Amino acid sequence: MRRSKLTILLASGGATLLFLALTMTGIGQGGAAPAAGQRGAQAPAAQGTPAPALPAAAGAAGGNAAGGNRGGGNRGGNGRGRGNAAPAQPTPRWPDGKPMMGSIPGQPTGRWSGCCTTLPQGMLDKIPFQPWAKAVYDQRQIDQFEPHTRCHASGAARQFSTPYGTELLEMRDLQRIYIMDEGGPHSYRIIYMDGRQHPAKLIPTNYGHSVGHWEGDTLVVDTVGYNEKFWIDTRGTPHTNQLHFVERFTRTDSNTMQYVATIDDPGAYTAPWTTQVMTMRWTANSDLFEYICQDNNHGPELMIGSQESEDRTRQFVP
Amino acid sequence: MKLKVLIGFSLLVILALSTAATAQEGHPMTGTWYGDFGSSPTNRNDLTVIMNWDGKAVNGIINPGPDVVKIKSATLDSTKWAVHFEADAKNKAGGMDHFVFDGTMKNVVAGNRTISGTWTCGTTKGDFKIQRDL
Repeated sequence: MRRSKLTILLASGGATLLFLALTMTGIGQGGAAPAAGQRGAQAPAAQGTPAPALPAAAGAAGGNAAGGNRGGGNRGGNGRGRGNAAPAQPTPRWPDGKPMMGSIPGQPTGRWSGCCTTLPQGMLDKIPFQPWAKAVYDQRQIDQFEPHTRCHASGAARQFSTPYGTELLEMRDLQRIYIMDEGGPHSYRIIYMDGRQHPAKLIPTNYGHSVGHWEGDTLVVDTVGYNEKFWIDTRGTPHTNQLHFVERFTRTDSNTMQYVATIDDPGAYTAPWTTQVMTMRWTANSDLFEYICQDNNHGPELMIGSQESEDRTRQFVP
Repeated sequence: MKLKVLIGFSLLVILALSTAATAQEGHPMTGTWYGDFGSSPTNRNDLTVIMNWDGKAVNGIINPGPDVVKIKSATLDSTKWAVHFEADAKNKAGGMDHFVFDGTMKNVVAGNRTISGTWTCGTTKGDFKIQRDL
């Protein structure tokens, strides 16, 4: 009996060591998805190929249980080397050759994440802030009273920096793309792909009015009509209701979406500026889940004055 | 009766202007601010200021309603969060009084930020404090 217990103990220890070793080498969780041109990448599909070049079943290496609530095992997938990405395949395409921007019909769904936390990333000193906008940006690095923490819908690039992922849902028959972000108020943005123009008169909204078109393999989304009730990224890059926001999405392989935004806002900047290329990563075989932002949310109390004595000499994140 | 109609109309105007000025996260001075000003702790007057940033300058009004006053100039020194605004208001004698407000914005990142400081009107002076409406 004692020998049997010892055997079990040794076996358990060995299994643990093996698991740790596999995890550290990236084998145990599917590893970091290779970038285009690296291991696992294949030649890109030809433009206009009649049959879509679909990648292999995305769930093969995922093993990600469906997350039923926040805090569950489904909240990872930030695309920084520990997501549930299968090896990268060529960019999936529709029969007309256009890249698929979201999940592949008939295969397990997935979502994008790991992008756009800070639009000035790597170029803060080059951004043409108006003085007030730079001062506000600096202050927001200390006091991060972000509206998103109070469940406000947050448009522009902020939609993509939720830790729970973002789904791009193409409704080709309706000529629309829906962007659904987890967290916040569980809302969505519509990108109209039917060639319409922005309305002459718009009631400013959190998501604004988005129209999209294709430039080669890049989806270009043009948005105006924003209000000032949200931040356009997690770090509080300022904007006003004069913001004209242009996003460029390029899916370079099945696991990678490159994202570039141009900010044209004469209310906050002295000239338009364009971000560096940022990257979203694909988490395969996972769904958005029911996230109720208002549950146990202490953000509002911190915003309405009951915490006036809060120490503002240190960084504060509600 | 006339007074009730006047008060009702004033409330409607305030409500309409407030609805139009609910921006929170843009220029820090944009929004509707409520509070009071006076020459002493016991001599207070309500103060409502509605300001908007057009990309180049701050404009706005004080105490919307029948006695609304247009702001002549308003500035923000974001290096010190110092706020300055001026306005000319009709006095009871039919003349004009020139008000100058100088204050400091606090809790800048919060939607319910405040501006407090001093005001002058000729030889009269006092203090004021207004808080931005969420």
